[in-house]
Amino acid sequence: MLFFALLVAVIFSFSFDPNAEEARRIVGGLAWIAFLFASTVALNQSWARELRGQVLDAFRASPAPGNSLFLGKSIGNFIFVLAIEAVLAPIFIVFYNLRSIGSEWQLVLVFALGTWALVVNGTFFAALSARTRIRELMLPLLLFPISIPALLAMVNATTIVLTGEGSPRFWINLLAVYDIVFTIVGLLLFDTVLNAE
Amino acid sequence: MPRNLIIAYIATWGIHIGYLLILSGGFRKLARELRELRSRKEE
Amino acid sequence: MKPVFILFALVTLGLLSFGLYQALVAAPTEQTMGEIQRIFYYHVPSAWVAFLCFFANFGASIWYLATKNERSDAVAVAAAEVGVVFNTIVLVTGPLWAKPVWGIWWTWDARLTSTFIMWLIYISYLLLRRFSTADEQTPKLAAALAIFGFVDVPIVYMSIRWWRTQHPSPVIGGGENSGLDPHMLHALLWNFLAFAAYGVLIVWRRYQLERGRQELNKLYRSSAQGAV
Repeated sequence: MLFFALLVAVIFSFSFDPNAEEARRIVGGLAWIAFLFASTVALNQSWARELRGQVLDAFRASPAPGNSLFLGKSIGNFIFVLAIEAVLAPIFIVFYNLRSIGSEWQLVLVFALGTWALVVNGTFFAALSARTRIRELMLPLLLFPISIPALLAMVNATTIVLTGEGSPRFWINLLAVYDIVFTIVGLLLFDTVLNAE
Repeated sequence: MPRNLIIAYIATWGIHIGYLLILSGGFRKLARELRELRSRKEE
Repeated sequence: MKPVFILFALVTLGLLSFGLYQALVAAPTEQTMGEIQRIFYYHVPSAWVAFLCFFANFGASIWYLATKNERSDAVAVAAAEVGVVFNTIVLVTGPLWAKPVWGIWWTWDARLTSTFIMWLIYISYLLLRRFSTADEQTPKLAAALAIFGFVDVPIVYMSIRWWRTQHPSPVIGGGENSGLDPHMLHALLWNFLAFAAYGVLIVWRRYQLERGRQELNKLYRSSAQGAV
């Protein structure tokens, strides 16, 4: 999936040949498109090992609460996707000759919050999709519409920080609220999904 | 009366009638399956 | 079909006819937009009914998770389907109205975007139900998704609202606070009542279909286990 995201970066590089200022405006959107596709590929795999090894049955038999599995899985996916982003971000910086006008630490915050938003819902929906005939297709079908507010926030916050125009405060707050709301909803409902066998 | 107004009203009812047709198809299929199941049980 | 149902259907038909009369004849012609504005009397009630359907789906899904009562699951799927039908009508009639009046088919403002995303969310809900291999457990998975989806809708609306205060776009439909002539309000409310009644009618019908399917599945399962 690294190659996929890399491919996206390269192709966009060819189609738009922006100068430094234009680059700062558009890279936010491009980067998050690349990360979204890369994380979808990663998330589709995320329950594969458990399903193959019948780990879920063993888990259900144990006294451990279902939402701890969910949390653990989400954190694992989160670290994995962050690792991919850590590799891709420098590539974007190089290809687009980026230099952020706003604070880099804010960018890190945006990336962390945004990635969690995608991963926490993605992990939940991957578990739902695993029980369908069109597994790989179902995950993006479920994930994309529901993630739109978070995507809007991620892209706008990234662009604002890169261009230095205005404050990303509202978008960061929105991402934080989104993360909290959907983490709670996921934790509350995961037992239901786990026990649906 | 503007063309789009007519299209809009016809489209609205077209969609509703389309759904009603889907529903009636569903009922027909249900009746058929119930009949088949019953005749199978009588064998 | 039960007599109550038929009676209700006739009443609904009456209301819809009266609504049509209100929309096309009784309501005055709008000053600036002209006759095309009458799409409003079908477009807006459809949007309200769609939202009510999705709210019903939300309530029924929670009730199902709490009680495992399959009647509530039947309500959930019926409400979602009918909601998508009405939502489709909103998305079709909207651009038909917008193009002649404001010159654009579409804009990404808060209302339109939320309506579109709501449509996507509930279609994905129906697809999950359709392609699920979980059989008896499908209602649980669907109910979980329904909760995610409904919680998201207000978040979508607010996020686009904020975005648009930063980057204003053409506002279609007269913005958030436009006033309405009393005769027009009259026509609007009659059509809302008519389409709400119609919505209840077809949700009821779809509910009956789902209950029939639930009984059928129970029969299949018992015959598969050898019980006669």
